[in-house]
Amino acid sequence: MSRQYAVLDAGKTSAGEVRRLTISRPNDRLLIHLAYHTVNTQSQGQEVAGQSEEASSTCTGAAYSTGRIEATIATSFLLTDTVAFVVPSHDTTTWNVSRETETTMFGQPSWTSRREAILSPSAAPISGAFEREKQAFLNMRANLLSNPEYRGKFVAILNGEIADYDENEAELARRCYKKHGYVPMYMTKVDRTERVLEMSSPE
Amino acid sequence: MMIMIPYSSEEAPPAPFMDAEIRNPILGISERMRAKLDTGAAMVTIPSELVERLRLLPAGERTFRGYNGQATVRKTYFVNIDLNGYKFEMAKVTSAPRDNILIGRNILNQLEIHLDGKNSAFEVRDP
Repeated sequence: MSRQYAVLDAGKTSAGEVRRLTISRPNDRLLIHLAYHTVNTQSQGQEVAGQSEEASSTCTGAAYSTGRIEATIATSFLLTDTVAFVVPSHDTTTWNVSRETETTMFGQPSWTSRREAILSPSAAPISGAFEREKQAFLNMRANLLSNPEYRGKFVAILNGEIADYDENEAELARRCYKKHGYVPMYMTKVDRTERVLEMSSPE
Repeated sequence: MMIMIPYSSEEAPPAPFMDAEIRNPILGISERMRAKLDTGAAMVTIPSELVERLRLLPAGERTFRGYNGQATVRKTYFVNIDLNGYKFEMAKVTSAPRDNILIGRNILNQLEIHLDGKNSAFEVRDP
């Protein structure tokens, strides 16, 4: 699978649940380049450690997991500029960025945490990946229709290829997400005609 | 299992509503919301904002025709649904800009439902 990344801008905000993200480094500008990551359904609910990559000389590495990201705490630090993060484009995580600052309490050093921003990746990369898979299906649709192995069945398209197929769409989805992780796929029935569905009653 | 639920007065005339929990089947993120039973809808429809909050990924597309005859192509998602204790895993839903959930026939047809409009209540059974 190709690696595609989305940049999270600190200006974007999003309501809802956030993941804890604690950053603390002795740099005045922080850019973290996160490693490729997909949610591992085998270890759902657990932290899945990943690898980090340095993007430039001013960058810092950080351990990346589904639960949190945490850099090594330095003895002192300054974070005064906008923080940008680069994450895999299909990672729909909304990140909560906290800044830790050192204060003195009763003559003793103390750490306090303050929320800085809530970052939400753009939906555009996800939509782009989905559209590519859809286009791949449209390109192979005629061949699939002429193949009795696929005709009338549901197929899942991932990376421009058939990842799996099944007569039961829910089973297909369950199996694909378990095998490939929670990534954009295009699942549809190989059929000559598409039935138009009723949306809702008038209100 | 059988439950009797009074019609809700949150709409006029009163309508059959249930308490729904919609869950991302992979990430486990969930949210509770009111859900109206709608036999006129072929598929469950959830608020567009809920798609973002549950971090749902599109899994397909379908063409829908509204009551006014206008056809639109909408993305579909897989979710787990809990309706007053009735559970449906990997149920396909679509989204629309609305405040509550519409429980369409892809779920309703798995239940036995008796609407008693005269007494403003409905009964749900899992046959």
